[in-house]
Amino acid sequence: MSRSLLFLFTLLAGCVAQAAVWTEVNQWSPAFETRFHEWVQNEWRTDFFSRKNLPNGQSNPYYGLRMDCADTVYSMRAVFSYENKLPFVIQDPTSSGKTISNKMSRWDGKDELTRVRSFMWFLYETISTRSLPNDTYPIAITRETVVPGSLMLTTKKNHHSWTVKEILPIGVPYLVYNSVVGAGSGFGLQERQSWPNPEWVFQGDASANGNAGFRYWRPEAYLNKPVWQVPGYSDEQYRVALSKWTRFAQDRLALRQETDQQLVTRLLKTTCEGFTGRVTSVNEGAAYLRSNPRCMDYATYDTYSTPNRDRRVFDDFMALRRAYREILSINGGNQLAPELIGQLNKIFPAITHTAAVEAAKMGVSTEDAVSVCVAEYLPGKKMDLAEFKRRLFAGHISNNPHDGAEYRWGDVRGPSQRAKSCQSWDPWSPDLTAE
Amino acid sequence: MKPISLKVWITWGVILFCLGVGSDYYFWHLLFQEKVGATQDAAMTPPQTEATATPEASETPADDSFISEIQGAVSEPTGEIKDNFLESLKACAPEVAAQAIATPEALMEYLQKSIGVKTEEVSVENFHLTLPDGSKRRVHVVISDNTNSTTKKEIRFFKLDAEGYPERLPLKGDETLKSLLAQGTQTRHEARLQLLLKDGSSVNLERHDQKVFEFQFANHGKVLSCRFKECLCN
Repeated sequence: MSRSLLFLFTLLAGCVAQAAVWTEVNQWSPAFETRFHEWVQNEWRTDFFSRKNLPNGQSNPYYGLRMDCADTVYSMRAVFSYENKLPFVIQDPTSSGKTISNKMSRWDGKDELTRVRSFMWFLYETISTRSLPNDTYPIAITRETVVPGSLMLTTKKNHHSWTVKEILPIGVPYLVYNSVVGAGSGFGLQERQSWPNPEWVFQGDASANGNAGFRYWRPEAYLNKPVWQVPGYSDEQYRVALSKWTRFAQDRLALRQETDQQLVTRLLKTTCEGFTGRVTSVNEGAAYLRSNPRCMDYATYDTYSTPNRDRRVFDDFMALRRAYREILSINGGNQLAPELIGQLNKIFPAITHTAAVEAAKMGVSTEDAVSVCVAEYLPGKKMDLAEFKRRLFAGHISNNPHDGAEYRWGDVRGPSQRAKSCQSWDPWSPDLTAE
Repeated sequence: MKPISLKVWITWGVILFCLGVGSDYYFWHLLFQEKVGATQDAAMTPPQTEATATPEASETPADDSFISEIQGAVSEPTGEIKDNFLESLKACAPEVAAQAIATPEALMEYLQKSIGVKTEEVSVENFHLTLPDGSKRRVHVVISDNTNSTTKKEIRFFKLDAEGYPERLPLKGDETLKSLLAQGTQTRHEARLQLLLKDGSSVNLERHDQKVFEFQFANHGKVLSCRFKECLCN
């Protein structure tokens, strides 16, 4: 009798096991917001979802979650909420006036980790960069407001977003993000310690209506409320001319001035990462083309083409060029190490001229003592950053996946026969007039 | 009468506890859960009964079984509604206020017809449907993130679970917006669009069932923000 009762009790207790995704024990408060900022700064890293084990040896509960840029932003807030038993509530993107939260009981009966991972997958197939304006608000640009855990969003035209891991003492954001979930993308995130091009971030609508720029999470009480009523709402960043935006923001956020040497080195590193990161993307496309030598449909073309990637590298080259040119005009480069000047002069051999003139004048660059960022872009073939810049600015680099690797890297001038005969989408070519 | 032994006390204690847990499970997890979604909708239903159906919906016979879904969050709040539309408009766009514009609807019409629209782009649309069997569906049309395209949109199709949360349904790939909408009766339509006007000003507009719900009008340095007639000029 008693055994039967015990069995019945256990069975019923199992049935009523926690219904919510997780039970919230705490509530968001200034103290928890501060802990969130500290957590992002210390724990939010590019291998957050790709490392199998945590430093303490335990398996990573989030391993294998694959996400795009908006998913990454939401994941940052959701994971912290879960780990600290806080509510995670966002506006339901499919219906104005409703919310989605950790209280949902869809995965009732599953163990907690399965519920959490299922909830994350549910978020990923529901949210997007266009739902972020519902759940966040634009903030003033100060060190008190642009904090770890905030985010950057572009206008809908470029539909991209980044998490802010921290603001470096020099006033530059350390961004962690992800790009398009492609055929070969893994579970790792990406990072950059430099400003995205404001012309790209705010492209199409630089006013508050574009929803772009720095934003922070709305308190639950302000979901489904007009954004301008959220405490801390500021449209200040939309009142700054785009040509002065980066300078304005960096001056506001800097604790100390970045030296010329540090500035150029940082921009050079970002540009180099853009170049070397392209190798994997192009190789994936070239490999696909070798095994599928025919015209691609839109989805396949979109997966293997690189117009946005190439534009970002171009923007990084232009930012580096502007910075170097400004330094030269102010102090002649007397704060830069001679070795660095040599490297820069190789990349920008006609820095006093326009980018268009420089592109026309620039000759083939071979690997030598002042080469920087030398990469093996194809088996047995290497080029340095200067040569990649020459080819990119000359329009020899192809982002069309119908082109073979030799065309994609500008070894051979395209377009290839296949690229000519197959349909292509979303073309991009460098605009050298936009200095 | 024999004294009740400890074993009997414990046995009955366990039986009563199990009955309590069982009742709790039945009422809160099985029976009541099915009503949560409906309760959420009903709580948002304002007292007035005028349905704000879209033109498509108005062509079909009225089906008031989903009236709460129709009216959800579309209608104006039932409490005290702050109305400072006119003074905010005067502060933010005196030249427009001088045209005797009295409502957000009239303002949008004026901006579109008198100033003129250079570009109009819809970034998000939600279509709420009721299928013939009474079940609910939502079609969410949004700018696609996972693409290099600046204009491509994707269609996401959802059913609603017992709590009223959306649950994504797989699509075969050959569906169109039209074919999905044809599955049921449209009960509500939400759209967020961006208008770039010919004079360089812009509007971020959210419409519910073709009615202005909320907007921000960026007028050359001044921004007029309104939800219904509750506005702010800065």
